[in-house]
Amino acid sequence: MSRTSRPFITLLIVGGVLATSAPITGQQAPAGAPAVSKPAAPAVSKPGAPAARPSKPWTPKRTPDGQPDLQGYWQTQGTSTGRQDRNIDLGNGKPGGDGFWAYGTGWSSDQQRQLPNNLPRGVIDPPDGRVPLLPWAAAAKSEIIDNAENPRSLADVDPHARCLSSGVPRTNYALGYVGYQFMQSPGYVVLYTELSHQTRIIPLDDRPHLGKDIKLFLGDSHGKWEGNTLTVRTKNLRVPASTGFGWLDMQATLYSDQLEVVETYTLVDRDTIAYQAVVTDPKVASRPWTMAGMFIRAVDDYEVYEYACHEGNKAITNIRESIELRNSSKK
Amino acid sequence: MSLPVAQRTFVVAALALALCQMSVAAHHAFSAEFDREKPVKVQGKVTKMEWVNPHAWLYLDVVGDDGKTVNWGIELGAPNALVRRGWRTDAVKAGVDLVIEGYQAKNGKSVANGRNVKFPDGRELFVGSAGTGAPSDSK
Repeated sequence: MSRTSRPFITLLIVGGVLATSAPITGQQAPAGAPAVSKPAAPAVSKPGAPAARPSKPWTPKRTPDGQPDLQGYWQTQGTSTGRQDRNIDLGNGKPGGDGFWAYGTGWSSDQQRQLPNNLPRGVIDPPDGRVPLLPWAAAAKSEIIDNAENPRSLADVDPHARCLSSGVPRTNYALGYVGYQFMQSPGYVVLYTELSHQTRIIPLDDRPHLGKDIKLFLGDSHGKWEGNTLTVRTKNLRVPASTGFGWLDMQATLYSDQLEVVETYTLVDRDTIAYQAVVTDPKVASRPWTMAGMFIRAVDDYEVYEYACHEGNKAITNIRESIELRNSSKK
Repeated sequence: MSLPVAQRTFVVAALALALCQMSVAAHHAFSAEFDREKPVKVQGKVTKMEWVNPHAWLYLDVVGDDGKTVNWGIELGAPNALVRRGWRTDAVKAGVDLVIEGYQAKNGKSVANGRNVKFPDGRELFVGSAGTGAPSDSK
C-alpha cells in the first residue's frame, strides 16, 4: 500500500473531470456558470421523512461558481438497507434474528464529533424499515443466505468480495473505516470514495442521460442544486454480467439494471450532510423506497489512502478452492 | 496542516478509537472463506508481511508437533484500517515471534483470518479485528 497525497488526488480527479466527461457524454463541458438555482428556503429531499433542519439556518460558503461548498473529507454514518429478517454470517456477530442490520448504524456516544441525532437513518420509507422486495427477490435473497456459508457458485458471494464496484447508492454506505472526498469544479460535483477509488463525476447542467444501452457500474449521474440541497439522479447502472444482479448490501438485497436512484445531499451545518436516496427498481421492488443517513466531516488531518482492491484479493481463490474441496469430498 | 507530533499522535489515536468503536465492520465473504467452527492458534516466526489491499497478510513459519515447518498465511484488516488503528509498515519484521489466534480457511490450507496478534510474552500488537471482520469477542 502506498500513501496518496491529497493534492495529487485532487489534481488527478479534478483533472479527470475535464478529461473524461465530455467524451463519455458526447457533449462539451458547460461554459460559464453551472445550473445553480437559489430558492428562498433550503430544499430538503421530497420522499419519506424530511431531513431535520437545524434550529438556526446555516449558510454554507460558496464555491467561486456559486455552488454551496460541500468540499472536504467525510465519513458515512447511518445509511443502510434497513432491517434484515435473516442475514449472512459476516463474522461480525452472531448471525440470525430480527434486528441484525446489514450495516452498522451505531456510533458510540464518545465519538469524536457530536452527531446530529435528529437526522433520519436506515430505511425511512416504507415505515416498517424494510426494502419492499418482490416475492421472487425475497426468495432469491433467502436462498443466497441459505447457501452463503457453502456457496454453490460466485452468485452466492457478495460481488464486492470480487472487488467489483459497489455501485450507486452502495458507495455511500460501503464501509466504516474508509472515507470520502467531495470536490467541486465549475459545473461539476465530484464524489470520490476511498474504497476502491470509485469516483462519480456529476455534471450540473441539463445534458441528457446516456442512451439506455450504455451501462456503467457507477451509472450516469446528473445533479442540480436547490438551495443547500444537491439532488443527483442516477440511471444506466450496470450489474455484474456473471450473475445478472448486483447487491445493494452484504445481505443479498439484489438490484437490477433497471435501478434508478435519486439522492439528496443537504448541507445541514459545517460538519453534516443529510443524505437520502430514493431507490426505484421495478424488477426487484414492489415500489420505490427511501434510505437515509448522513455524512459527517472527517477529522481535520484525514488522509485518503490507496485502496487498490484487486491488488492482493485472495478471497475468490480461497472460496473457489473451498467449493472444489467440498465437491471433491462428496464424490 | 501541520500539528505537533504529540497532537498528531493524539488525533490519530482518537480517530483509531472512534473507528474501533463503530460497530464491528463486516467481511464481505467471511463465512464463505473461513470456518467459524475452526478456531486456530499458531505460533511462529514472521516470514513476511504483505501490505496489500483489500486485506493485509502476515506469513509465519510454524513448527508443528511432527517437527515439520508450515508457512501459515494470516489475513488481517485492510491496510488503511490497520494504519488508522496504529499499525505501521515496520510494526512487524521478519524473524519476529508471534502468536496468532484466528479462524481457519475452508479450503483446507494453512490459511486463517487473524483475530488477535500477540508477542509470546503476551503483549498484544493488535486487539480485535474490526477491519478483518472475524467473529467479535469481548476483547
